Amino acid sequence: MLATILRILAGLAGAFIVGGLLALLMVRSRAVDNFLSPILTLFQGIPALSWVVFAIIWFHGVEFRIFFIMVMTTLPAFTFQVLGALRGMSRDLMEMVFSFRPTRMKLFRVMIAPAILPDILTAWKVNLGNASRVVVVAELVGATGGVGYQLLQQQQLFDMAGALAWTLQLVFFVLIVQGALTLIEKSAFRYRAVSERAI
Amino acid sequence: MTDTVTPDDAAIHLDQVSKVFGKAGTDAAYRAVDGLNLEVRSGQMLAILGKTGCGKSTIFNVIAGLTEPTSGTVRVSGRDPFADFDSFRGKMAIVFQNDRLLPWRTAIQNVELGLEMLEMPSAERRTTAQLWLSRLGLGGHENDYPHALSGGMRQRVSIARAFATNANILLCDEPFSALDESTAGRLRAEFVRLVKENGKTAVFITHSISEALEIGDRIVVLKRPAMIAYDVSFDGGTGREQRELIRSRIGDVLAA
Repeated sequence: MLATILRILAGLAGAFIVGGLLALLMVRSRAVDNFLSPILTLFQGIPALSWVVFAIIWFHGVEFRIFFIMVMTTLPAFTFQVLGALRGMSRDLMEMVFSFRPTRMKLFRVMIAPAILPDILTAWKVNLGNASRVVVVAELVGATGGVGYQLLQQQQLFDMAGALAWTLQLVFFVLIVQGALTLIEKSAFRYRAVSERAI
Repeated sequence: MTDTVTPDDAAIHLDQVSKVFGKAGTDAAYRAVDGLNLEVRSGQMLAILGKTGCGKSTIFNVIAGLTEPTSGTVRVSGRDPFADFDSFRGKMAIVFQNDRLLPWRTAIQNVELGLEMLEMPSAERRTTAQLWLSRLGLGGHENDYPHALSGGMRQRVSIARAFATNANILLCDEPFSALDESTAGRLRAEFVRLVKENGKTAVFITHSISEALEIGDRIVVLKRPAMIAYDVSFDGGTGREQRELIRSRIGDVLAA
């Protein structure tokens, strides 16, 4: 189980870092945006199973194959979500911060990071669910441990209870991380006004 | 009543400044400012008055270094505010039309924003921000988030944020226009007092003749596309009758 958790977290972290960098490049340059947007859109249409096949053909190490599959399946969503968050930042607030002539680092710390944090947390929540489904498929291809491997074993033993137990472990992991992200949201967004009338 | 400011003693100097939005020479091009010449003396409080769409905010952004002019020269304290953007850190502060407080920061953290850019030590930063909040009657609200403050209080936080950096040049873009008349009047008086007490050069954009007369010691009236149609200076000695004449003249220029 621990191997699966580490694979999910490593894949998500990798996709988030690469996706964040790509989004920054895309927001800074229209040419980069025009070049990368169609490619990422194309990637979104590629099934996880196709990435599994590509990984088997292209790479040798099992762990690298799984990491590659995890990154490629979650990269487009992370990139587009960070890109949307960067583009959605208030121009008024940005100008106000610029008027104090911040360094790039300070601009990121006082303005960009807090402004895009809500979207980033949402992106993590969404991609966590996707990654937990993809990792099982990725582990079917040569891994010697993890939930996907165990599910394959249960299938061969025709053991429904075992299959259910491994599935539930993964679901509990997702629920725990979702809960942790919700706690972070509550703490980080306590500044938000709460209306007494719901939507 | 018009006075002359030479480039040597000008805090702000605009020479033949034009700004065109959209692709120049096409139908989509919009000339917001056209060959504007303007000098603002150090310590002067200039009120720029004009109807909506006359290019006031464009001039404001050009002086602030947030927009690059299409042609002409802009100098603030002898430097180009757009090209030498970073060199104005702590030397120029802006009060915007809306408060523009960062919603994720408390009132005191918002006031500290400019001081953080100046690398002021945290304890000193906090003391300075606290002092300015108290001066503007916001003692006790330091840890309130913007959503918990009224419009007037939020605008006072934004004024505190601008004054806290001790910048010599203050740019204000209709900062009281969204407030009720009583709150606006009180804040205007506070603002004038603070500018005078601290010897700032201030450019104040407004569309209200009364506000311009109350705030400025010089008024420039703009006509579209941002050309000076009337330029008048006065001081504390200018009598009520004379001010009424100025008001009437400004009214005529704006109506023309």
